[in-house]
Amino acid sequence: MAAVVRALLIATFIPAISPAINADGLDPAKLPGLVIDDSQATLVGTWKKSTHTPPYVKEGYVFAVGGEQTASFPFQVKESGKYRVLFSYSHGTNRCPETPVTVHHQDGEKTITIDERKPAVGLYCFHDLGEFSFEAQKAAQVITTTKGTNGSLIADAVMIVKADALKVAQADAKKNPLIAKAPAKKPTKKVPPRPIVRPKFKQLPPQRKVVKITPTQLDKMFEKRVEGSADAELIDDEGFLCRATLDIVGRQPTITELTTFAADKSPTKRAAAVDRLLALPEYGQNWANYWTDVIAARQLEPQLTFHNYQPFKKWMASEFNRNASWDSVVFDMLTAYGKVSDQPQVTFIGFHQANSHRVAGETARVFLATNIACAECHDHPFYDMPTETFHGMAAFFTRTEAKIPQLDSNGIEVKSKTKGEHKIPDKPGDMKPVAFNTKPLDLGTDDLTRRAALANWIIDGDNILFSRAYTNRIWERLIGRGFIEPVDDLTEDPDSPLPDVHKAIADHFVATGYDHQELLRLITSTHTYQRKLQNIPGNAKIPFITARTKKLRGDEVFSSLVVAVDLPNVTPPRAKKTGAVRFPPPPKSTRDLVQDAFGYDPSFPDSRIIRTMKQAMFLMNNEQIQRQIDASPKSESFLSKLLVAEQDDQLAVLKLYHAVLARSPSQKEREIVARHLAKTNDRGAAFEDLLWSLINSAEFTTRR
Amino acid sequence: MIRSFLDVHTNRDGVVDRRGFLQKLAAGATAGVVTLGWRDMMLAQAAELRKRGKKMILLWMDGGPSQFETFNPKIGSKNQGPSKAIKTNLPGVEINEFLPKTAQVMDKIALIRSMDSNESDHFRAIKLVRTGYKINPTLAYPTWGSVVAQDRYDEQFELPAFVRIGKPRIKTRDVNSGVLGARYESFKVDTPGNVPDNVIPTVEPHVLQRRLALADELDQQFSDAGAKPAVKEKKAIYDRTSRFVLSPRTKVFDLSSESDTLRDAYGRTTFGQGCLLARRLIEQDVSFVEVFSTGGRNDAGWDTHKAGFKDTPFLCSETDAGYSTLLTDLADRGLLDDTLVVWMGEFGRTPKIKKDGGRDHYAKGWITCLSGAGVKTGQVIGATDKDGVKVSERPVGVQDLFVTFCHFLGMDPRHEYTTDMDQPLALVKGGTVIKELL
Repeated sequence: MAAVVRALLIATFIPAISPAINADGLDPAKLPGLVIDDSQATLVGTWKKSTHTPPYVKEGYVFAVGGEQTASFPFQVKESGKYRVLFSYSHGTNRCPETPVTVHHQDGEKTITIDERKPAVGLYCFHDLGEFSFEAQKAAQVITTTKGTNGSLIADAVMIVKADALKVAQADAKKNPLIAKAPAKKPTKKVPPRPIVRPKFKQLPPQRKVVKITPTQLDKMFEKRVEGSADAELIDDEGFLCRATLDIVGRQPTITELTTFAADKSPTKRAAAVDRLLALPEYGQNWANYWTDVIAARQLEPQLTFHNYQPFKKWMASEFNRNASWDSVVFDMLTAYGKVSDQPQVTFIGFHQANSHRVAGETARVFLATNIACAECHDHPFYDMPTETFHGMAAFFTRTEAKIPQLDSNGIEVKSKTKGEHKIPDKPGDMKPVAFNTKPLDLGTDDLTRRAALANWIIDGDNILFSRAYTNRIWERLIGRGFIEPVDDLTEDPDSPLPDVHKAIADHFVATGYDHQELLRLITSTHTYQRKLQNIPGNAKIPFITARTKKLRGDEVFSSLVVAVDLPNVTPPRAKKTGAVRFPPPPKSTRDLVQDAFGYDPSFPDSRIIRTMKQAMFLMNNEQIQRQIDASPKSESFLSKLLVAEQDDQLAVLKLYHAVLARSPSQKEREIVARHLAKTNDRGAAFEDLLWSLINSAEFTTRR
Repeated sequence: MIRSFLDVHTNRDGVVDRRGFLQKLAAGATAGVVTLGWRDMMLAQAAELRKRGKKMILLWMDGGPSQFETFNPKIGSKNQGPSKAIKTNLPGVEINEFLPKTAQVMDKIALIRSMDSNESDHFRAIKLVRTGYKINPTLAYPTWGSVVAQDRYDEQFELPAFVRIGKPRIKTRDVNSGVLGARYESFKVDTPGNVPDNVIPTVEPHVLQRRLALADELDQQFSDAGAKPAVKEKKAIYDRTSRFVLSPRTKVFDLSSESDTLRDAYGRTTFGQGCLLARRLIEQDVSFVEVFSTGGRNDAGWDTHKAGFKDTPFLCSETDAGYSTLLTDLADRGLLDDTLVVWMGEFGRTPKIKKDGGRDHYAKGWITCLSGAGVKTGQVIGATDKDGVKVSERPVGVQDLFVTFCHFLGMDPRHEYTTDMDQPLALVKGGTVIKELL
């Protein structure tokens, strides 16, 4: 490719009034020097054209990501001498932070590193690389390479210009900044963005008949089916409030809540308490935390981007708090597009980097409790699932893509590709999008139509997997054991103990229009939910006779610590990104530290979720917690205030039990504590021991 | 299990404290516990000893160290740059002048110059070289330390089985216990010399014990109220944790008892002091220790695309002091025979030199060094051509390396463990043992 040599245009340069100088394609003729556009450059490797971000020279710029692609801009000058060399790019957040640009000049070569995330400093989109000498009619060039770089490397043009001409042009540009012209030009852009039609959610009621069920009917089913359950003892009021509060809002009740509840003499006070809890903002937050744990447990961070689930949690919390139906929430997640910061529901697909295999496997696992991932490479070994099942699902997402900026996951964007079909490795032909045994979609169907079709198939009232998967999960959270475990695989456990009961609850969920709050009301009203914990030999094998314990999730432990001892949530300052430390991890708040230690994948059955030394050490020795256990009045800790307010030991013990375990101590416990107080002469020390022991009790971190 | 029951001790020379063993045996016999025959016991004991005996230290050069500036200089080639080669205590073997101390312990090292992995992206290469498996987006393979930890797991042992010292230069590129779950996660010491958060009790031991006793008593009430399994599980982990935090063995993290001379010899860097801590942990029977080398100045570490002629000597000085002193110190204490020490990073660097001495990623002809645990040292395995571009002799794959680790650690590479998803997974898939090392 020959270099284009143009006379220097100092005299004829008229930038200010020229309509050609607008924010889109700059006309080289109107620029003050010799311009080599990317259309004249030698491109090696995979470079793509783009007009996404103006300004640029002529008809766009080229970009490449990673690997070893080079772009060389060859030229010759007419007169020997010193020139300023400028490199043009369109800046942006996903750009390469360290673009190496090498100038081959008369005396050798020099590499200048440009941060393409920042605007160019020079003239318009041109970045000034410095002054270099060139010999007349001798081949010279400017080269850039993606080797060793990250992000999107933009190469638009190179300009060779005399220093004084550049100065004149810069002064002119100041008077007539490019940006002012930009809006006027926008509407005439060659390719108008394709209007995206956001798929509309519509509830799809079942064709079959589904009926609601009452708690009494449900209890009757259990009494008939589960021997001994009719006689099992129910939990007392304090126990009920604690259990329901943990389950619904993700923390234990406060002392005020306990007292109010105790004072309530109404026979329907348990149902009223559930209604009150469902109206708290913490209700949505708790279930947002649960679903975030479910989804995040299987999402891997990209190598230079830290996943931040805050926007997703906020969105989910508001969905639950306005009691959005579960089908609409799932539809939103599966058909989402845009950036995490504007459309947090893209987090499900976006944090899987829109990898069609991962998203397909996770969609089936999370929303349908069906394991299709095994069929990715081969037919399923245990039951009838050919490998096409997996790939038919993956084909729904084959035109979905995600842009992953470095560092900040809020900028992750889910988009649609206009081309591409799914292929099964080593098999000829394209795979049509098809969900199990349904009618396949045509090849060529666009991204959002594909995803909406899949979402509609999933949420259809007649897709029994959808309602069974959900109700099984919620049942497992609330009762301590699912009808089928693990809760993300309904397919491999044919020995569900009570399939008809599971079906009745799932149908109830469909009949209510996938109403999560109604489901919680139903379950918490049953005797099965309100049973006492009991040590019955072998009750691990016979489910549902008694209540079962479960380990609290990380955020439940944290919220319980806040309620129990006013644990503050401290976040250290965010480390600044510097030249030396380019990828500083975000700081960890107290809540994050607790989540790190106590968090788990809620799709695992309780037997797989182990207690760890990290958890024990955190509650035993963590300084922030220990500070709240300090009895000396100077400390102004939770404990010291309590001891000042409550001089009577027995009342102080009662208050501690209420605060930390959300119940009154039994007679036996009072005796143990009294003995300890008597044995330890120092009142403060004895109460420190007690508070420490309650926080470090098995009960405190257990859903009971 | 067997270990705690038998209470077999070895001293530094690996000799069994036979008296303790026999006493325990006798006690067990009278209590009617022993059902194994004498010969079975001896075999069990031998197996247990062998298993506990071999440990591993991984020195991880995070970012991918240059083979030219470390263990495979190409003097006379245009690809070498200004640095020179020096003689080592192995006749005929030369390494880069940036490693003068290591040159004097080359007899304790088996040097592989022909690693060949075909993964030159950090993320993919780190996953491969730290787990032995190629990256798989749907299966989080565990880092090797976790695999060793689950093989050696011993409920009664007071210290963690797997300790990591230092931090990876970029957090998102880390590898953790993956499908092995939280039990086999590494215990992290970010700064050697400092005991990690939450280990040291904030109260006197007797106060902690008093509290633990009270908590036990109260837990019993919860247990009686119907939560027996939950309390049992909690008690087990608290027993183990309190044994750890109250153990005199936590002194292992305190480096102040080591002489200044020795601490200086290791180098006063995170990596150098990390190597010293690694030795102390190995002395205390920890099964796997990994130490990160990043230079500590930035998050580029050994990823020297730029300023290679400035950064690589600096990084080499850190590794030279720490690595060479670790080998001699382990040998002096008789620990080297039972400890596999491996020096490596995720790949090497390009033969072509950039402007200021930087080199890009290159997955051919990178370096691994092995020592101890019966490895035949004092030899060089494999070679690259005269310009260091191609592997010219004896290419070694990552799976070969992992099979070899298994061999020296006394583990069966084809053994399948159960992941937390209940799937069987082999320690290593593919690969053959590197025979030259036997």
